[in-house]
Amino acid sequence: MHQTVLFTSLVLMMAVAAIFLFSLSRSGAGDGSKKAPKLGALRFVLFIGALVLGAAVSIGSLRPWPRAVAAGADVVSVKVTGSQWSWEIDRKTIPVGKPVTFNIATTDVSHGFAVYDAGDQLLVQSQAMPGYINRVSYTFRTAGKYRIFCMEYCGVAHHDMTDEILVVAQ
Amino acid sequence: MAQANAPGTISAPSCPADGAVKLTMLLTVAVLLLMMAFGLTMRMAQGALIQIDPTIFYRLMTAHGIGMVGIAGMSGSAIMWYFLSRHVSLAGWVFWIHLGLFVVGVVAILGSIFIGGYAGAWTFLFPLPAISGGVWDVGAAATYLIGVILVGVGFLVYLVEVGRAVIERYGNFANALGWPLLFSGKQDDVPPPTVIAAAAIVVFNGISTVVGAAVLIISLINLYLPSFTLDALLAKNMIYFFGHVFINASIYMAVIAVYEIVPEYTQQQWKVSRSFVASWNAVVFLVMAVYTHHLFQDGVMPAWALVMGQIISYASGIPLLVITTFSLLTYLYRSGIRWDLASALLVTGIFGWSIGAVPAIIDGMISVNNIMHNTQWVPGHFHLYLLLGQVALTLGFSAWLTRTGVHASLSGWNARGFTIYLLGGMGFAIVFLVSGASSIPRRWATHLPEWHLQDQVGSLFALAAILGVGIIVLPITKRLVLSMRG
Amino acid sequence: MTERLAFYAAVLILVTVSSSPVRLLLEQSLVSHLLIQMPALVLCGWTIARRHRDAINRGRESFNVGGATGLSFALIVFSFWMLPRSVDGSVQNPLYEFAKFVTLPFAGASLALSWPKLPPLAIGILKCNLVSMMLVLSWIYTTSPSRLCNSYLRDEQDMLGQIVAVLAIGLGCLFGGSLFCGTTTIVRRKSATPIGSGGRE
Ligand code: HEM
Ligand SMILES: [Cu+2]
Repeated sequence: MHQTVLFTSLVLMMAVAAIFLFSLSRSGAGDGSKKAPKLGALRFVLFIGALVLGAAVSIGSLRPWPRAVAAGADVVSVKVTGSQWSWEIDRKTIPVGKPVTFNIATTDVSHGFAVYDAGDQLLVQSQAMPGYINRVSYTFRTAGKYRIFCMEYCGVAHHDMTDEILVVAQ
Repeated sequence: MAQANAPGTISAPSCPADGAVKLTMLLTVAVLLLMMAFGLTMRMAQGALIQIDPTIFYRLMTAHGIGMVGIAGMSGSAIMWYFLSRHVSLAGWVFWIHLGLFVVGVVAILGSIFIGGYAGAWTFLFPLPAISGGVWDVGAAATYLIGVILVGVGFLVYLVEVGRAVIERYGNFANALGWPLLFSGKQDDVPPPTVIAAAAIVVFNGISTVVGAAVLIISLINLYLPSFTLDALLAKNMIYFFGHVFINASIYMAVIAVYEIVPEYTQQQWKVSRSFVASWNAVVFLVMAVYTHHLFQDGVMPAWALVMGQIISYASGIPLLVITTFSLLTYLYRSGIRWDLASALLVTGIFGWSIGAVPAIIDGMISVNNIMHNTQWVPGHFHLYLLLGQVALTLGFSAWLTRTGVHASLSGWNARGFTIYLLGGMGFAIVFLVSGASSIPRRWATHLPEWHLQDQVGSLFALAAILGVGIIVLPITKRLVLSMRG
Repeated sequence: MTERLAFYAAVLILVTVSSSPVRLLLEQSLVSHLLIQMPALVLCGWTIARRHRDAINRGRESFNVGGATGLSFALIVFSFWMLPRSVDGSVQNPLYEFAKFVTLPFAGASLALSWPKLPPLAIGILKCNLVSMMLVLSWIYTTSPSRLCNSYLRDEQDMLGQIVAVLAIGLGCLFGGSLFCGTTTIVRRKSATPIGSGGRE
């Protein structure tokens, strides 16, 4: 997912850059007629294309709802509380393959709870906001150690606000 | 003000507070370079190339954030003022007040950070200013907030004057926003692009300033009376609404330079078509509604607001890419444009903004945001359209403002500086994107060893970008000073 | 004609809200005290003064240049009566109450005399500031951990806060909307800058 996002973005950026380069390479005076080409139709096509693409991408990327929270009997519930500058996690050993719902709170300022895998890839995150409990769900596929980082700037030891959880096979 | 021009400088159409605009550009150059040095320091610290205390890092981060956002807003407002005065009559002293309040505010902000130790980030997210973990005291946070309020008041005065002048000339905002053309195709007295842009900016930046002032004053009261609490979710909504609109406005204001200067090069007036009018009217709504994409990771936000955030993020790209970028490119096509520093920088500004929109829109998808939010992906995309967008537009304007009568093609040191800046800036921002895809969090003073390489490459590009900007601004600064001495 | 009618209506309303039963009735609740009685006093002062604006202003122009003096006076009076202590005082202390019934109409009157003289820039800033301040006030009323006015219940304070928030948003929409349908006489500039005028060539 991470690499796909990067790749897609770079390709699209290059496409935009290519359009710029193409037009600029033809910015010379040409045959003397300085008029801009009549491109109203092209613009209209682009506009409609953008709308159609947008609708397709929106529907495709919002279903299933990307912030769905798992609930039910077999869901493992974990309570996470952030404070400057450490985490309190009430259950640090989690079974593999079961949906886990993190209930995230904070005692002071906003924090950001994020789970990183052994390859330092961010898997799932949520904000911790004063006065609220944010929920986010994730199902771990592989056993092992996972790191917890803080993703919302919370003061001068923000980067030290790390922890670990263990995912175990049953 | 300083009316007479230095020898070799072409006299520009007179602008009320011409001197203040030039002074603003000088200030912009100085603040830009200082803040870029702060940025390089941060980047090098992340790459373990230098050692600085995290406390210092976060102070630099706070200063860099507010300093850059502030100067982007200020330079944008100067550009808009300069060109709007071609079409409506503005009272020059108002811009001096705006500039004065900005300077006083900046002094307060710098004092709060480097004397008071405030390091709560430029976003002053409630309740961080009040709860520092014992690092800075209430006085420092209050000074910071007061500084931002002063800058905000300056902007309010500025926006009201712009609104007043626009109404004086066009009767009301419906006319100034081109509604007669949009809805009934009326061709008489159609406002020029600058006026339409200015009217739109007054509407959305005015609303954001009012909301921003309220949340700033509330935060200030909360510092001294902590029992007067604020709903953190409401505060975050207000702050991001204000912050998002403000920084976007800095780009929209600077784009006016393209509408006004590029036609001088292409000999073709920037046309106010129905789609131009429609897109600016859409922007008024889009730029205000899009901020919820900052709150995707807050599960307590209503789902409809998040869906709206995603869809509007995408939609915001359409007026930019399909109207602004597309129009610019068609104007340039076969235009025989003469490339000099000003024209190259202005086109770069639209280029940086356009490519920056790509990673922004992609991160505006909730499923992507789940893994990219608050990683360095975010500074990646916004440095593209700030460092290569807003700043390029501002520098392009300054280059044009200080142009000499002699034909200046893009060659010599100008060309070298421009190339180094362009490549350095691109590289710097793209490394951030790569770092984001490697899940490196943003706003971390120290990085894990496996991240250092990326940080070091990023630092190298940053150095290049700063060098390039330095080369570009050297002659501009000289001519600005000369023309101000008059 | 309508101005004369408004004048008499204002006098009538001023007398009515000042009469003991109505006065006590409106002061029973914080909401009606702050949002009906006080604005009514200001409005009456405004309407009464407006009818004789020219007569009052004649010969006194130098005293209220650009409306600054009158505006300052009105703002000071309003700020004073925004303080919870003053509101409490007016309920408990007849002297305060008397002062309120005198100063608020006068503040309204001085605003009426000054408003047309204010530069449009000042009016715009005042309007924006008013909306901001009302949002802050609404927050203060609703989140204060204790009662701000000892003479009134906490519930009323909450309600006041909510109403003020609605009013702030309503006023904001009104001010914003009025920008779109104004019919100001249009002032054209003498010389529009032709395209390319700043260029060389
Ligand atoms: C070569 C020039 C620049 C360098 C080296 C630089 C460097 C940095 C660095 C290292 C960060 C922190 C990244 C992190 O969160 O890990 C940052 C953040 C930021 N930069 Fe820059 N930057 C530059 C130019 C600019 C410009 C031109 C602007 C705007 C006009 C800008 C606006 C910002 C903002 C708003 C932030 C966010 C601060 C925060 O997270 O609180 N930067 N920059
Ligand atoms: Cu943190």
